[in-house]
Amino acid sequence: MKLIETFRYEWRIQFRNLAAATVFLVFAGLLFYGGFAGKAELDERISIIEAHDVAVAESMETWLSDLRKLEQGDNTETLSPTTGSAMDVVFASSLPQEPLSDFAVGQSDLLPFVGEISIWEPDIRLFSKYEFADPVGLALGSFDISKAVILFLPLLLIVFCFDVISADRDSNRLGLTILQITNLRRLFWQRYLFRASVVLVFTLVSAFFVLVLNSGNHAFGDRLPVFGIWAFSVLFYGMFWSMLIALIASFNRSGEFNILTLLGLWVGLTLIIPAAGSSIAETLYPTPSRLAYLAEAREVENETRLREADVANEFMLDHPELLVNSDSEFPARVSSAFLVTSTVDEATRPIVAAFEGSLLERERVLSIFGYLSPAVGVHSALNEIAGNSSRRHQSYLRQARRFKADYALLVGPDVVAKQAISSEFFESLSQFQFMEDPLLGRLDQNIRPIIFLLSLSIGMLLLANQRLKAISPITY
Amino acid sequence: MNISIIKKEFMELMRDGRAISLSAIVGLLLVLALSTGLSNERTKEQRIFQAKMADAEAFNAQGEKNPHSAAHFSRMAHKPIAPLSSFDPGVSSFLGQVIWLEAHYRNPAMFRAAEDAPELSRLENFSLAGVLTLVIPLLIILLGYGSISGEKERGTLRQLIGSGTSLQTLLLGKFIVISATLFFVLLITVSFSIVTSIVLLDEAAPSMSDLLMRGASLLSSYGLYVLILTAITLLVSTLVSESKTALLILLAVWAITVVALPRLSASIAEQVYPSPHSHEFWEATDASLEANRPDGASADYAAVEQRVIERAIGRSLEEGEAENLSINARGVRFEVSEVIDSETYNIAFAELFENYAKQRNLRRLLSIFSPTIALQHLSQAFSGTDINAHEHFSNEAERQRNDIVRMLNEEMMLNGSGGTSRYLAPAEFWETVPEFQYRQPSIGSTWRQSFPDFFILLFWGWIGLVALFLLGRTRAEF
Repeated sequence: MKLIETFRYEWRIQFRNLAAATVFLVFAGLLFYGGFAGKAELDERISIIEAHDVAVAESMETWLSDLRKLEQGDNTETLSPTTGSAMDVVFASSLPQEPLSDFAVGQSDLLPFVGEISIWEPDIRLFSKYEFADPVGLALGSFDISKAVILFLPLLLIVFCFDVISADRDSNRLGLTILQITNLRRLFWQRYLFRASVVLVFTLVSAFFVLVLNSGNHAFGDRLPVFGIWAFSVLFYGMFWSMLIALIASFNRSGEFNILTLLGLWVGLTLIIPAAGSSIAETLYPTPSRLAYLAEAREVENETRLREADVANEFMLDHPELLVNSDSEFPARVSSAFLVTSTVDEATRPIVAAFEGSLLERERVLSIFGYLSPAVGVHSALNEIAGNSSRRHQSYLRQARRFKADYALLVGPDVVAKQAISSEFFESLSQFQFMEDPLLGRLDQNIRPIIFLLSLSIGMLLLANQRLKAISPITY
Repeated sequence: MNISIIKKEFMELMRDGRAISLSAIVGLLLVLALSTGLSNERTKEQRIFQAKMADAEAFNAQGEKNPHSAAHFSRMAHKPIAPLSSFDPGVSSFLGQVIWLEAHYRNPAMFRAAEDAPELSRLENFSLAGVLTLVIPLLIILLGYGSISGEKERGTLRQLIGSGTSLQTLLLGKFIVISATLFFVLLITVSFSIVTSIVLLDEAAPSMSDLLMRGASLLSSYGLYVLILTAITLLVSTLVSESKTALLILLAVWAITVVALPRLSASIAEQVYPSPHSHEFWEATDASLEANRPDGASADYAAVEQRVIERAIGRSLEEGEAENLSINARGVRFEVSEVIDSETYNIAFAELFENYAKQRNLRRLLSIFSPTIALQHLSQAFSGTDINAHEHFSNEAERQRNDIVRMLNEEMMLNGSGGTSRYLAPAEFWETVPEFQYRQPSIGSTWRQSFPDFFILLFWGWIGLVALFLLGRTRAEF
């Protein structure tokens, strides 16, 4: 039988029937719905960021106009006594949305991606007003195209490939088939590659349609290269599962055995290992208590207020150049709030560092699970590609806190000296810009497990090939 | 009913190597889920206890201070561990652990534990409830897919029917054996959870009888789930002629109803009833606060002012007495604004929770396609980790905020003469502010809210059994 005839035969038997069409339709529905849900979440994030930027810009415009009035001496009696205070300067901050953000919601529905930076707020309350998303949806995990692929692509491969030779075996015609052809291995791989390719091509083509349909927020040209990396990761994932299925199929057992074994592997590799891994890592490396962080912050706040005069003196000693404006109308609560917030931030910085340390340690443990299950590595890689990983969000929070600390350092002397800043100074202030790590650098952590599993896939392929050699019309 | 059929089925099950090894794996998973869940809950419990102590200490150590400044510092309301959160943590990790009871503002709960959880935990839930919901259907499928179709393939079904055993009796025997086996697994799991929860009982926890009732409710919900799945599995096995076909159909049903639909239903509910954006919610609330504040010279304002003063002095005011009272006017203004704003906040938060209720109702509607959705609702509700439980806590914390702020404002009103904010309350005053004594909602109120979900499961069970024993008997292919 020629190659093309084998493909035609496979197409007619395996794919041109109502059951197969239904399965593909359901899968396509899941992919498109995932794409649509991811796009809806992305649009929402973008609209939140835009609204936030507009609100902050408007409030700072009003603030600046008041400051100019103060500088020019216009209608100063209508101005607030805190006009021109550096304490009231607010900066917009947000995590830029990556070109392929709609492909994986990742942690973006849970972790902050937008927020005002103000030195009125201590670090602990900088992002405390989170979004009110449906908690049940959060608990179940947002549904997006990446999740649809991770969960259902292996199932589709199993459904179409598990009986590549067991169908002949179960209907007692394998012996006849082997006698009719010269090479069982060739027939196996021809059938197998055709079936797996149909599934993988269907997945990638559907994803490409989602890419095209969802374009709008980013130029298609910007999305395409990132989609290439996403598609490569999906291809790797599909290859791993294809080789695993081929290996089980090459054992030449009944279709029932194959499907039970593969289903067990799917449950284990896709659901149990990731869930157990994260649970074990959480138990072994718990983050420091946020409640203890809060308690510490409140204790320091209280102590600072009780010894406010001493704290102010210490600040003056650190800044001998300071000249307090005795004519200022700034209320004492402004400089007092600054001293309290700065002291609280400084005192709780080790706790924040401990948080980050434990998160890193946990990530390290979890990366080990990436060697045990392809879902772990691919899930993390797809979130990273979409720019919605936990790591990127943590980096944003870190940068926002650093920006606030730098600004506090810059304007602290003015605030304590009860002096207004000038409009020129305000205009010269740099705005918050998220410093992005390159995508390939971010993917670095996922590459080693992927290479390991790729090698494992090659090993499985060789083993499956070896096992196929052993099948003969007498021994099967 | 022929007891010998049950005996035979049970013996076959015991001899089936696959069943034994699968049960061992499931047992291992359950032990792992129970131990990690317990360890996490115990850590949380200790942290809450320490945080409460530290909070009380910080509040009481404020020294001489203006009561209004103290009302801004205020207290924290710590959310206690839910009665059976080691069994099903539900949505508690996604709703914050502590509420700042600050003057002027009703804050949402801060610090969602899920923000500190690994990214990977979003892929699947590894609690006892998560494992049971995911794995129990698989176990039932694996134990039951070949029950009738296997007999057909081997040709023993005709023989059994020919020997006088009715198909209905055979089905009932297999049904009892499979569901009883799984029910036994459930019984052990839920019992362990209850025992460990009793060990971890704190003062906010419900009574032991309440806990036992919760356990029984969980058992009945999961028990119904087992019955439904067993009925569906046996029905499919009866209707098709090959075990492989039965297995494929059942696995497709499992993938769709257990893995895909619960996720999809949550996603659809969020699309249909979108939760408000944080900035929109706060902007709208600020606008309502502004709109609902009556003019200082209006009769409405005067009525609230009179109520506030009468409450503070503990008696009714006589006509014209208010003007001559030696009372701090600033303190009165703070309390009046607190009373007016509190109503606006209550409405805003009630609307937020109402939106969550609409999302839950839509998911309920979608549970006609998947009993897993209704089961998840019930499991979270009986474990005390659903949104209703959080709403109860949030409302109780708001009541406590109103009480604390009122007490501090009244201290200023009655003892800070004149109209300034310069009054300093004595250092020992802070200890007179009462602690937040939170009692979690009872099982009775949980049942009232969860009955529709239970009814859906009952309906599924009824349909499943009717289909199995009527359709299975009449449409079975031999």
